[in-house]
This record gives sequence, structure tokens and C-alpha cells, in this order.
Amino acid sequence: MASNSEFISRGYSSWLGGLSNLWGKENRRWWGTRFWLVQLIIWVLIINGITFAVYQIPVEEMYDTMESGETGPATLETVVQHPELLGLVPFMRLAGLGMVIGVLVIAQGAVIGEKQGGTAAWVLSKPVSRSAFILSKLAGFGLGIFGVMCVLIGITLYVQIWLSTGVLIPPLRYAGMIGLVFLDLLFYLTLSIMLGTFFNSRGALIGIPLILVFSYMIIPNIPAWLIAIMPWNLLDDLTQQALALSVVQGQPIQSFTPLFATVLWCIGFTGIAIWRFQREEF
Amino acid sequence: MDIKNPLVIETQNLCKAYKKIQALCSLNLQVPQHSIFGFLGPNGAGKTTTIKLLLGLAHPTSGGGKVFGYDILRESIKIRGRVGYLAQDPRYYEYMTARETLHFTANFFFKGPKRKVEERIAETLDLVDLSDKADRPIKGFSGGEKQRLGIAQAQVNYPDLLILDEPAASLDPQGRHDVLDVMERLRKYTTIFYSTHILDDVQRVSDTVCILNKGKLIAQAPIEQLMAGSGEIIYQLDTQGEVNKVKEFISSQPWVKKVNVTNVDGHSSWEVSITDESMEDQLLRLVMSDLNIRVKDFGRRKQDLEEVFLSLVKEVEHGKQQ
Repeated sequence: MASNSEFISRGYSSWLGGLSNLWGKENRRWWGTRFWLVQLIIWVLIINGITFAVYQIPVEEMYDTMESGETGPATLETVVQHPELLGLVPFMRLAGLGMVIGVLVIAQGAVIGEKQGGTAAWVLSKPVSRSAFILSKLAGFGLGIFGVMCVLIGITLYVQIWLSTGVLIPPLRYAGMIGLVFLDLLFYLTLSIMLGTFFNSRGALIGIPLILVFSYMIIPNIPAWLIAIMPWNLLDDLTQQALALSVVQGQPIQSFTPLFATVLWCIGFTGIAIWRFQREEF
Repeated sequence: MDIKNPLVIETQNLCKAYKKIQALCSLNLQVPQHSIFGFLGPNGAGKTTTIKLLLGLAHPTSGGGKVFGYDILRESIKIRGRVGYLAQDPRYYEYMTARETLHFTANFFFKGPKRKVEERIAETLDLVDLSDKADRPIKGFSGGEKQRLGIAQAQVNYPDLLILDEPAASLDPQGRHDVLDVMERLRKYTTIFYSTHILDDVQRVSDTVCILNKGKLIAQAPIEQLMAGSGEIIYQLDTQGEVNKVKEFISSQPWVKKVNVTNVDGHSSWEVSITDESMEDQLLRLVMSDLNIRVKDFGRRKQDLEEVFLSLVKEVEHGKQQ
């Protein structure tokens, strides 16, 4: 038998011990299997399919539909001058609802699945810190969601809009919009991971974030301050034009509060998840 | 307890309660280095709870403990850096192969060199006889194969302490034999702390034993000491023929404490308790002096662990011992 003196040992950090290995495992789960491809196909079919359908409808008719839903860009003239909006606005709506549901479904087992399946106890019997366990989930799922739902889908949509309208959206502005889509998805990812440290029921994990997603649509007279500190205004027009729409159009930003508040929410959810997971018993 | 080696595990009044259930109560455990320490107790005795507390998977309600001198609460990650652990019902990522699982495990301990890590993984797979299945996903593994993989992942990092929770409980006799065999092969490299309720296994491989019942420690000693029991000297005989006369004669000897004889199918089974070991030959001579008796078997009764265990548990339950 060989001796362990021939190996280069790792240091055991009580804060980040095991993070790189766990993150590597999460990345292999996303990118080393067909998982990313399945996700890509699903979202290409949904996003690009709907965008394709939208561009088959005459602009005037589409504008009427958007106006009646009170969610469209301001004027018909704007839409005619900027046909790319007909692809971007539905995408932002879908990202704010469909992709959020997708994130919740994908992430539901991230913590609960490992707690219930016994793999969390196994991993945590190794020199792994509990904060590293949570951060690896966040980093692994975050990268996967960013890579597939934001970058790859973002590129296919960009190309599709260009082919459909001939408009090349300024890449930096477009990247800014995609960044805001990611921030919105990150909000729900961190929320889901945090809830996974509190609950053992997947129902609660999906139900609670969904209440948040739909609350601004179904609860009347939500105070403006609440809308300002939630991520709703990132992708949807509420008290102001959607932040992502302003960014992609190069318009002045009315308020950065939703952006900063969402970043703070994400940090807060992650901190609470780590705090709660430190107290978990297996 | 006479401890020649330094202690690897030491707990002080370690307690754990789950809501109103006291799972563990004032446990003072001392596990010497290089021992195969059998942690014995019926189901629900608190064995797994103790292991989880030692590994930081659960938090004590009161009391504390040290492993390698590191505090189990504050320095858990350093402890886990030197420990290999096999859970009672081990679970792994089923999409991984056995080799990937060992890679994943080894990566928590070693940065490299890559070639050495590969060699170690191959060596470990070989040790548990899984080389031919190394690249198959775990989800197709049998219970025995998963258990062997469990042992492999537990010792891939050359642990100074191997903690095995019921390592042979779910295995068939061959699987059990294999697991005990692996444990015996590893004993020269590491301290092995393992829980079990299979007394034969403990008797076969352990050198030190601790008995736990209902969350309380009821005995802790080297196995020879425990098996010696109360120190009573009892001889067993198997005879044929009329025994009443010689039984009466033997009972009257000053060095004889007690004689029990039971008759089964023309045979008489004796248990003679004596005060002086040197009277062994005299006892046999006295029995054989009766020409109507044929002695078929004679020898000192050896207590097995099961008897020790049951008598200790019984004593505690009757409140004779705390």
C-alpha cells in the first residue's frame, strides 16, 4: 500500500473547504451530461418558437394585442421603427415568468434532494464546509442557468431577431438586458436554495416563489415602495418602464433601486441559506 | 481502563436529545489509537447518533468530545480531514461510476499528483474487489457492491481513523466475511471505530469493545477483559449414567460453589462453579471415580460476547449498574 506522504494535501478551510470540488461536481452535472442540451432545446423551442410566431403577425395587429394588454412599448411608431422590440418584449415576459418557473423546477432538488437522498450527509462527512456546500449549489446552478438560459438562448434570440428584422441590436446594450434577465433568475435561484435549507417539502419550494412571481399580477394596489425593492420591475413595466427594456433601448434609467435591491436580496438569501444550513442536522 | 496508546476519540458527558427523546446520555468514550473498536448495542442504542456527533453531522445537546485532540464542535472540518466514514445506509451520486465517486472523494483530500491519485484509486478499487466494475454507474450496483464501494471511499484518503456504521448489517454471509476481511487488512494502517449489533463480528475482529444501551454506556473494555466477565470459574461436563450420588459428593466439596445438572436424552449436562482453578483435575477425578458414569465431554465454560452483552444489559435494566 502506498503512503499518503506522497500526496499534496489540501488545506481545510472552515469557510470554503471543498468548494472547488463541489462546484466541479455541479458543473459536471450540468455540462458533463446531456442536461444542458435538454434545457437548451426546451428553451429554444419556447423562446425562439414564440418569437418566430410573433414575427409572423403583422406589426399593427401585434401592437394592438400588446396595447390591449397594457404591456407594450409606447407607440405604434416606436414599434415600426424598432421591430426588434416585438421579439424582445415577449422574451422579457417569458423570462420573468416561464424561465423563473423553469429555474424553480430545476433548482427544487438542489438542497432538498441531497438532504432527503442522504448524499448531503455523505458529502458533509468529508472535509467540506457547509457554506461551501451552499455556495457550490449557487455557483453550479447559477453558471448553468447563465450559460444556457441567458448566454445560449440570448445568442439564438439575437440571431433570430437579426434574421427576422435585419436589426443588429448594439451588443453591449443587449448584454446589459441579458444581465438583468440573469439577475431576475438569480433572485429566484437564491430564494429557492434558501427555502431548501428550511423545508423538506418541494411544494413549499416552488409554491412560495410562485406566490412572489404572481403577486404583483393578482394583488391590487401594491405599494410603489414594495415594487421598487422587488425584482418585478427588472423585466416588466410596473411603476416604471422595465429596466431591461430601458437598457436595451439605450434610454435613461428611471431608477436603479430594483437592480440594487435585487442584488441585496440575492446576497441576503444566500447568507440566510448558509446560516440555516450550518444548523442543519443529518 | 488501561490505555497504553494515546486516545483517538475521547468524549466527555456527551448528550444528545431529539425533542423529548434522549438519544445519548453522558457518554464518556475512550478509543485508543490502532484499536479495532467495536461499538456495540441494539438498534436505537445511540450508536449512529454518537458517530454523527463525532463527525459534526449533528450537534450535541450538552457535553463534548475530541477526535485527534480537535474539538468536535469547533474543529470538525479538521477531524473530517483525517477520518474515513462509511454510513449505515451509504448514498452516493448514482449517475457517477465507482471510479468517479472515488475521484470525487479523493479530491476533497488531495490536490495531486494526478498520477498518484489515479494509482491510489486503482489500488482502493482493487482492495474492495471492484476493479472490474469501476466504470459502471453506481445505480446498477448491488447492496454488497455499494457497501464495498463505501469502504473504498472511506479509506481512499488513508484515514487515521476509519468510522464504519454497521458495515456488515445489510450483507449476506459472504459479503459480511469480505467486509470483515477488509477491516482486518486495514487494521495495521488505521484505527477502526465501528458500530454493530452483530456480536459474532465484534468477537472476530475487535480488540476493544464498548456496549451502549438506550443511549447509555454500560461497559467499555478490551475484549478479553469483557469476555472474562465476573471472573467466575465454571466447568461444563457431559456424562452418561446415574449422577445423583456423585453430584451430592461434589457439591459437598469446600471449593465447589454450585452444581447444576440437567438431564436430556439420557445425557447429563453439568455446570460446576468452583472457587479455585487449580481444582480442575480434582473435579474430573471425582466425577470419574463413580464407575457408573461415563464422561463424554469436559472443559471450562467460555463466556461468549452474547452472554456478556445480555447479562450487562439485563443488569442495567434491573438497576444494578449505571
